[in-house]
Amino acid sequence: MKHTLEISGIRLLFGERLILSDVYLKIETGSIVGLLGQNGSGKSCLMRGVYGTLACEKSVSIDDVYFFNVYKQPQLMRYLPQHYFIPKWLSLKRIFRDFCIDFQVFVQLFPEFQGRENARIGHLSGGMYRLVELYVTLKSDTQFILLDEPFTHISPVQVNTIKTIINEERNRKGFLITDHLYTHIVRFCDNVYLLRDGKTNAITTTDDLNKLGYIRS
Amino acid sequence: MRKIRILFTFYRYYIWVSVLINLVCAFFLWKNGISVYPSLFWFKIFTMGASFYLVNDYRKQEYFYFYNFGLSKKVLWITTLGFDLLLFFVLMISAYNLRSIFPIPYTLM
Repeated sequence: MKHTLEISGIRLLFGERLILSDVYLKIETGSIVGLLGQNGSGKSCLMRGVYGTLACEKSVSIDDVYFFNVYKQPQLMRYLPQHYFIPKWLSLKRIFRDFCIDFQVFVQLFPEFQGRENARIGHLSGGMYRLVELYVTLKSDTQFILLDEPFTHISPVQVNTIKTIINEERNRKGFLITDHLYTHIVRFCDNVYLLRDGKTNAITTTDDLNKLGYIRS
Repeated sequence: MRKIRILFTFYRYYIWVSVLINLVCAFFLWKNGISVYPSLFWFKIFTMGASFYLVNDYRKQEYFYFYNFGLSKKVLWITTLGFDLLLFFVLMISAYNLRSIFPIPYTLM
């Protein structure tokens, strides 16, 4: 069964500065939507607003049921913030147990984690830390996943593995991804939007990014 | 069960400080009697406020771990501070009752 996430009517002000004003996004399970934008354009604010951890005017619905704090329904939505979010003292074993995910499957994909089940996440390198956060978020049992700069700190080989995992998971999940690696986003996502002046602009080719001033060719 | 485990993970941010404060308060009640209880109670409330401020300030990014399990800030704090205060009361009552079983040694008076 397909599920639909609709985001509209988002309005966010910081003081007198209007950050978000005219946003419309529709994400279905089975689709990957990319969101591009300059630093400070409001990508993270948009995700946090949708997730319910940043107060703003909004309309967020899943299958026509409206939610104000959708994060209180983890079976519907999960969010990977752009910063580290897992407490440093937690062991990998404990993290995978909390998210109900098989650690051995993870080790098969990323053999560098072999024998590190009892290691604390805070003792891992920055890239490994991020990889664990990204993997558990992707594999968790939910309908929609918001990924804020998921490829930061991740090596190119691992980015390909992560893309494979997203493609496997998309059968039952919908994704909203934002990242500065725009070539990955444009090639990988079904629909791409550029956030500019608080509004979402649909992107079909990289020429659109050029016209809207996101890239210079 | 999983939610309780995750709530306990949050409690671990300040559990050791809290346990230490509870034990110190229990010791003072055992030594000085019920007359010091109001001071100990307000001291405990102050340290709970300090824990709230410090965790909010230094660990705010890690709230997203708990959000990903559907736990809001309000639920995290009300549950863990409530449990912490309950522990404090239990220790206070135990310390008061201990006064009759184990009288204060002469050297501590």
